Amino acid sequence: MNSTKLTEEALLQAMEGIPDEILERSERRRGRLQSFRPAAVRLAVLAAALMLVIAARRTIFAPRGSAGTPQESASSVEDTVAYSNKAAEEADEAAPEEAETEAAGPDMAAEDTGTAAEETEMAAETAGETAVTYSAADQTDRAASRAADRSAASRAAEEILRTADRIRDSIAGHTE
Amino acid sequence: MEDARIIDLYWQRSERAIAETDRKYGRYCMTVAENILRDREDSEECVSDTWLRAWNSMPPERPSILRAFLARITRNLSLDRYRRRHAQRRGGGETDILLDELRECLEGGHRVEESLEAAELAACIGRWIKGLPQRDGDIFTRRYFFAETIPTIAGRYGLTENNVTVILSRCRGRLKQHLREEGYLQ
Repeated sequence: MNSTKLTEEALLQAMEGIPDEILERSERRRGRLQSFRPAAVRLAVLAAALMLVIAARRTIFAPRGSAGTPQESASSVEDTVAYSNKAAEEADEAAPEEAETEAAGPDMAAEDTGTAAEETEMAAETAGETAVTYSAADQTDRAASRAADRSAASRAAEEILRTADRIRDSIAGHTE
Repeated sequence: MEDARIIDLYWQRSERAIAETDRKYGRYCMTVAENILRDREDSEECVSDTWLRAWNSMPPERPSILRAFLARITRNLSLDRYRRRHAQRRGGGETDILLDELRECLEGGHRVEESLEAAELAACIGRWIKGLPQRDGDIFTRRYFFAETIPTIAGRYGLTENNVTVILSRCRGRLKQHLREEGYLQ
């Protein structure tokens, strides 16, 4: 015989009277209710994210003149880079040619008109060279900027595609 | 390893029984002990003592649900150790909070018997909890058998803490009424 008084300690001890099946049942309910709501929320968030990605992809790659598909954009980036390289080369070539052309003039003028004229023409020549150089460099900069923008857009597009693939795989894993 | 096979190992007096029990239920029993004792070292000792008790119990015992069987042993050992540790004073820990909550079931009523059979009281609790709605019974069990905290219970069942508090308060009121009906309180 195990006598006790009716105290809160005795009540706490008396909880050992709870049957095994209720102890086990309280364990089993751990998985069902707890996993349902978070799983449903996760699925809803994934579905919303996928829809956003699909909508963004359609927006980015909608036919708008030169944008096109990622492959087309990539090739247009290459074209633009080639153009900017060519423009830079042309600018380099143009500057010395024009310097040579102008050099002949100032040299002859200097011989004919003296030092001041020579200096003036040399200054004009320099300004002309600079203007040509700036013009070519400006074009190069703009082309490079466009190329960089297209390159960044292309990278962003590729990242979105990779994210969409991951989301699809994740949803497929949830539904299995 | 399946529970039935583990129990067979005990009956065969194979030392693998304890290793397999520890592998499958070691963490579980550790949680049961830590919920009550809130001390890792004491809990580890209780779990070790649980394996010894299990070894000494099987045979002749052949529990139908091994997990519940082990949980009872661990719980009893933990409560005993808790009582020894807190004989002089209440430490204000989680178990003390449980005791304060259960005191509500006894307040306002005159205790009929000075002494009573612990086993009878346990059986009374067992009968009462079977009559509770399933969710309420599970929450009451997690709180007062497994000594889980209210946030843990709320997370387990996808409820708010306030919801769990209200359910437990309602259950304690019902238990008090049941104790009156059974004649433990007037």
